[in-house]
Amino acid sequence: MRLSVAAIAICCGSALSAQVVDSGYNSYGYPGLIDIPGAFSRPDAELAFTTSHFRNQTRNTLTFQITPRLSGSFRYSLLYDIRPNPGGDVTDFRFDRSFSLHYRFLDEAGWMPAMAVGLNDFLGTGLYSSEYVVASKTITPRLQLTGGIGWGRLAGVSSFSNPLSIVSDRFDTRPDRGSDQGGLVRTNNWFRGDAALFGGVVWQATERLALAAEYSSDAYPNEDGSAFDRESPFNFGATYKLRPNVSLGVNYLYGSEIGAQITLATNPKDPRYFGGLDKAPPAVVPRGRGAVALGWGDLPGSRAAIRSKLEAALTAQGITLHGLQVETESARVEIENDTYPSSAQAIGRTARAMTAAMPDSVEIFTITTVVKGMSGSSVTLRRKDIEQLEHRLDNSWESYTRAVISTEREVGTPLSGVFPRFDYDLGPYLKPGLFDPDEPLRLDLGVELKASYEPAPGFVFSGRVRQKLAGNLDSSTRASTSVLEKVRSEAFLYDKADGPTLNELTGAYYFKPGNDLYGRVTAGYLEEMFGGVSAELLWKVPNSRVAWGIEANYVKQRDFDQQFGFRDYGVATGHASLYWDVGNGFHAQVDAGRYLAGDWGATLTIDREFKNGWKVGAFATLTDVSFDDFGEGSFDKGLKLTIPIGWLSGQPDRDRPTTVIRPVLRDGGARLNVTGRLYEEVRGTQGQDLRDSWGRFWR
Amino acid sequence: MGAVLAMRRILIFLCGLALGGCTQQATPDLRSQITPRLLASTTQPLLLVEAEMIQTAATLVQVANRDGTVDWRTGDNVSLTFRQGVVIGTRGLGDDLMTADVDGTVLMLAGRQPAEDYNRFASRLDGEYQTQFESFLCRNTGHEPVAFDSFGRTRQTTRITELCRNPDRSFENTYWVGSDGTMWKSRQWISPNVGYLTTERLVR
Repeated sequence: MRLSVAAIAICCGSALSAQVVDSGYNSYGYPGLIDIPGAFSRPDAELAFTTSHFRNQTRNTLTFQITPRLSGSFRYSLLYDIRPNPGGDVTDFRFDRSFSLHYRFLDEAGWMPAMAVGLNDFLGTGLYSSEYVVASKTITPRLQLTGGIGWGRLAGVSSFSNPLSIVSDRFDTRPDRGSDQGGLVRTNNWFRGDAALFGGVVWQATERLALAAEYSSDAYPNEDGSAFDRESPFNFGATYKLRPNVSLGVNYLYGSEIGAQITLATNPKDPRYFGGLDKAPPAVVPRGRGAVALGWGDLPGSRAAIRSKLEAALTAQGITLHGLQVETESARVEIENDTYPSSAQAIGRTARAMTAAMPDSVEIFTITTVVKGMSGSSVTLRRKDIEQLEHRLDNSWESYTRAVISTEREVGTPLSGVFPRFDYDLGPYLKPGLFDPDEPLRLDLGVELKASYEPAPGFVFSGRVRQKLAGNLDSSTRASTSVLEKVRSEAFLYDKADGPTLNELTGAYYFKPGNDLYGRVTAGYLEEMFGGVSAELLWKVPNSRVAWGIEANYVKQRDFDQQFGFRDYGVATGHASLYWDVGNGFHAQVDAGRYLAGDWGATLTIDREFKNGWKVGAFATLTDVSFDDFGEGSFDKGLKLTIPIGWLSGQPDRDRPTTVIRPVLRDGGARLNVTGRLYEEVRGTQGQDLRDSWGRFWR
Repeated sequence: MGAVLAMRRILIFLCGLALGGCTQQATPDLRSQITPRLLASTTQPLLLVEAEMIQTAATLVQVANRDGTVDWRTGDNVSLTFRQGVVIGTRGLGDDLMTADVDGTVLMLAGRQPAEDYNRFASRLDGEYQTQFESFLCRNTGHEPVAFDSFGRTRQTTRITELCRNPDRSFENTYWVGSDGTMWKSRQWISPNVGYLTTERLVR
């Protein structure tokens, strides 16, 4: 007995000690010490932006801890006075994009160190191309040792012939970096050529301050002698944690330079306002009070009274009452959720409001969520359950298991007065332009007027007009060199429009041709650069992990002034899509078909989705356009980041803007941007998404 | 191409991401505004609640009372739900207490709990808005007569304390209970990020 207590103490002691050294990000923005990698990982789902600088080089890196073991980084480096080829001519500047992956394949345990393997710049122009295997071991709670072997750029100092040569002779030499377009996955280089050792130590001096010293095997072959003088392989650094998610670092690098670094981190799993600041929902009103007054003698009169009471209560919750049918023992209510990111929360609040508005005899509540005139799911609840479960400990799960969830094809006739409907919004906008080699960050700002008109369920006319007030997006002068139809590479010409621009003017019709089928037809000025007709059909069975869609469009390219005129180019474009909920929060989507430049191919998108609405994803498109014809980057790819406004503000808000970061925007693999694509419109009301959000039913 | 965000969004982004520079505004001292005269002219039940950690205070009115479960709300719809004076739910505070099973505490306060450990269960939403349960073992740690002044009126109460703990955390709740069972005052723990709430019954 005594022995087991001691064993627990030791186990917990070492578990705690492993957490004392606060391992951070290196100057390349991936897990490591100063310049070299380390074997640890950051907390799952952490998203960090690191800027590091020393003479003639600045690296900006976005790193996401994709899984507890795997992290991925996208880096944009501003390099001055470097030699793109070691020993070659010096270039004034080079703005370089690169990707990194870091995978921890062994956890620290007992005498075993943590171990990780990594790839740097396996997709860019290869300037930072290197691979490594690294081990880290916590020696005392405050002291961590790291040592590893590197190839490529990490084999610049005291290198030796590749130990992997034992496996095959092909590891002896590292091929040159081939094509200058970049973007190719250079597997033929990986772990080839000479290797070298690197290592370092981190000492956690205080809770906030960590000191590091390292021996770097990076000889800076492109920079040494022109960008800066590398005098020594030793680096020394201090990192101070200003706040839990802000770190500042100062480094003494390669015996000659002082560098600085800042890391800003956030984690989608840690909303600033926790579960949110949503105001309290209406209280459940038990029967036998209030509602008694509504006799059934005068049915039309009482119906009108029920409607006005329910409508007022729902409007106060930010929910639109779309339809209402009251029988003696049951009531059906159709709602449009304009406010809550979680469908379950809107349903819960509607059920509470119904307890106050419905006659005592009504025992069955059916609540249908209506999205753009299409029915999402219908949730049937017993009134007795709502009354009994309101304050029960496990009311979330109990109410979910007692709810009957179904789908219906038809939406009932909307209440009089709901349609037609007009809405508008006037506000500022901000439009950034990233990664132009002449000016890596540009920005426009102005005012935007949005308006929508819905004459009947499913019919939506919407428009968006912008007037730029200030900005420098129009200063780009880089003419498109594309050999394809210039469907996207002349985006900068659209930014030169001075007058008001018509960014969108469309009429759309949404409908359900079958029980699990959803349809959309949109016509008009669909996006900034194209107008035409777009039609989409989605087949989504509520509890299936897979959904299918097909979309066909005919569009013409719009005039650069973004008013009503068109240019000569027109194209039929469209895709067949597969949506797959892989599990563990990962979602995959494949879109195969014809792209805007007339090229044929497919796009693969992988997202990690969080149940609070965050998404972090990456996509890549391969088409029949050759890498040479595509130009810089070789193929279309990028990152996607969706941040729910409600996660940031704590207030209920359905808006969750998506930011797409593309290293370079060209004409191959370009897809039309149509608003209102069906999958994202429909899925939140159903199946797994509804279940995942059920914790908010009682909120 | 790129993200397009309205200005309000931009401000929220700056406040909400890593920088977190927007501090909460200071709360006015509500206590200094409450006077015996004001209370004498109030007829409906009134509760003063102060949250030390999130630095906010408000008066609440009773909006529902069903089978001993009482809902109190502020004017802007932040709500607290009590069973026999013990908090079983909050809404609108952020890291809210979604539900709680406080049967043990209620029995203890009524003097019907044997002098042993009893359970308390609670649920909250995590960062992905999923329901998480937490259980505690609690014990009555004090029982003494105390009189205190509440805006000019002396309340004769028994001050009862309980200590609740689990391997991750512990907290101590304090209840000032009148001889008729009225909860005149309390200091109760809600959640890690709301901390303690102090409640004081102003008008019964």
